[in-house]
Parts: sequence; structure tokens; C-alpha cells
Amino acid sequence: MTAPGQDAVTQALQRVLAAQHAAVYGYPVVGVTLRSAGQIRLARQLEARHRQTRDELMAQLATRRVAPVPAQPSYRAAQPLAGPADAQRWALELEEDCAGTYRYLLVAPVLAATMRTGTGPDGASAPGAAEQASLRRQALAGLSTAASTATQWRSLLSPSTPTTPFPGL
Amino acid sequence: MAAISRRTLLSRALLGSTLGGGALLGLTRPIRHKAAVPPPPPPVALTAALARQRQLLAGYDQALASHPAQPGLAGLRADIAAHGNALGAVLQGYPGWRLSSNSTASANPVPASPTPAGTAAPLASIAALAAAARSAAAATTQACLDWPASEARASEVVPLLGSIAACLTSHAQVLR
Repeated sequence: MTAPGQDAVTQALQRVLAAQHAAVYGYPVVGVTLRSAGQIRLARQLEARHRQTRDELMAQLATRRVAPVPAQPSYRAAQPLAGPADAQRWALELEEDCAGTYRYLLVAPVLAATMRTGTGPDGASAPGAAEQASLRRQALAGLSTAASTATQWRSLLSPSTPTTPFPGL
Repeated sequence: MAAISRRTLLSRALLGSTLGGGALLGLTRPIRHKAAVPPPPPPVALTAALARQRQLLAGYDQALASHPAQPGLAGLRADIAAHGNALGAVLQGYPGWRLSSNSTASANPVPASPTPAGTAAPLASIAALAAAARSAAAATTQACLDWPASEARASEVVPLLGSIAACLTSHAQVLR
């Protein structure tokens, strides 16, 4: 059993993984709905990137002796994919979801630090300073990547407002 | 000469001794002066982030004045303005900031644009904005990484700085 602080971090990592599962499922569907060769290529690249991130997260959770959250049998977009614009919109949703989970991962080690005084029954403590720094770097990199990718899709959907002031919110 | 009754004399003597005793008692009590200790200043990382935001905002104003038809520029400026509002709201939680902003509000205007509007070539101006966005993103990322987890407002400040850094990175991407 892990300490309360570790639980918060593990939950955050599981959320990030769940969003990656959705992206790994979603991008092939997005890819076959798109028409532009450049966008199809982008969807393939992003599928590969999310697949790699998913595998790294599963390994990270394994080192924490936690069973990674499994992928759902299927994922659906908020709206049926009737054409390229719907596919772009779903891709944007997938990236915004990823950004949201990374933002949560940014907060989780901070919340864990406030529980630092408590230790689990097996004596495990909340994450140390080195692990906190590592998690924060991971979360920042993920948030920044998801925000930039979301910007790519948003620039196709709404060219005059391709960005959002607070990615992950 | 008016005659004073014994009752009047006694009551006045009683009143006088009561007042005198009260005054003496008051003088013997220790007097505690409250020294006005100014609150600590707000974290430099936050004030620096706000300064960067103001500088970027001035850059966008200059670019928009020169090239009002540039697509997307107004949206990016709106993001920067939102960052300033959010940073200002967080800074309001620090008494040192409230004190300094109240006393220097009029003496601390938004920094002026580095060059007069209209003198920069369009590409140079956009390229300068992109470079400024990249630089601000890097500085904000570092501020987010360095923010102590034990700080009282860390759960509010860390995700805010992280989101702003990610947004500025996407700005640099759009402006490139």
C-alpha cells in the first residue's frame, strides 16, 4: 500500500494514461476521416507519439508497483465523424483532454507535498524532492506538447483564435 | 464669600481623589506601541512573470497598431491580457503586493513599447514577438519548475505558471 501523497501522484499518472489510451484509439479513426494528405500524416505521427507515451506511462506505473488502468473497448467523439472538420474537432478534444490530465499531474505532487507528514502503513513516504521535480518536468513537457498539438488542430478549425490562454483548464 | 456645605466639600474631595487615583493607575500601566512591520514582498518569480506579460502586451499593442489586419494577432493579445489578469489575481493574495501596488499604482505604469509603433517592418515585428514569446515561455517554465511545493499558494501558482508557459509556447509556434 502506498502513502496518501503517492496515491495522489499515482491517480494523476493513471489519468494521463487514460487520456493517452483514448488518443491511441482515436487518431486512427481521425486519420481515416481526414482528406488532406498532410493532416493524415500528422494524425499518424501523433498516433505513434501517443502510443510511445502510453507505453512509457505503463512502465512508469509498473515501477510504482501499480496496475496501469486498461484501455476501454472503444471511445467515441462527442459528435459523429461526418467529415474532416469533425475529425479535426475530435483530435482537438483528444489533445485538450491530454492537456487537462497533465495539468492535474502538475498539481498532484504539490498536493502530495502537503501530505508529506503522513506515511503509509508500510512506511512509504510522499514523493521526495527529486521525484517531485521529475514529475513536474514530465507534466510541463506533456502540457506544452498537448497545447502545441491542440493549437495545430485549432488553427484549422478557428484560424483567428488558434490558442487558448490556459491550456489544460 | 459663598459658603460651601460640608456635603459639597466631601463630594468634591471624593471626586478629586477618584480622578487622581485613576490617573495614577493609568500611568503605572505599561504602554505597548505597535510597530508597523511591512509585510514581506511577493515572490519575485510572480512579479517577473507579470512584468514579462506587460512587456509582451506592449509588443502586441505595437504590432497591432502597425498591422491591424495581421490574422490571429488580436487573439494572441487576448491570451496575454488574460495571463496578466490571472497573475494579478494571484498577486492580490500577497499582502506585500497589495501594499506596494496601492502605494505605487500611479507610479508604475505599463512599460512603454521599445520602439515607436509603425517603425518596424512587419516580418521583423512578428519575428520579434515570436522571439519574445519563446523567451517568456522558457522563463515561465523555469519559474514553474523552481516554485517550492511547500509554498502556501503552490497548488494555485504551479498550474497557473505551467498553463501560461504552455500557452506562450503555442504562441511562438503560431508566430513562427
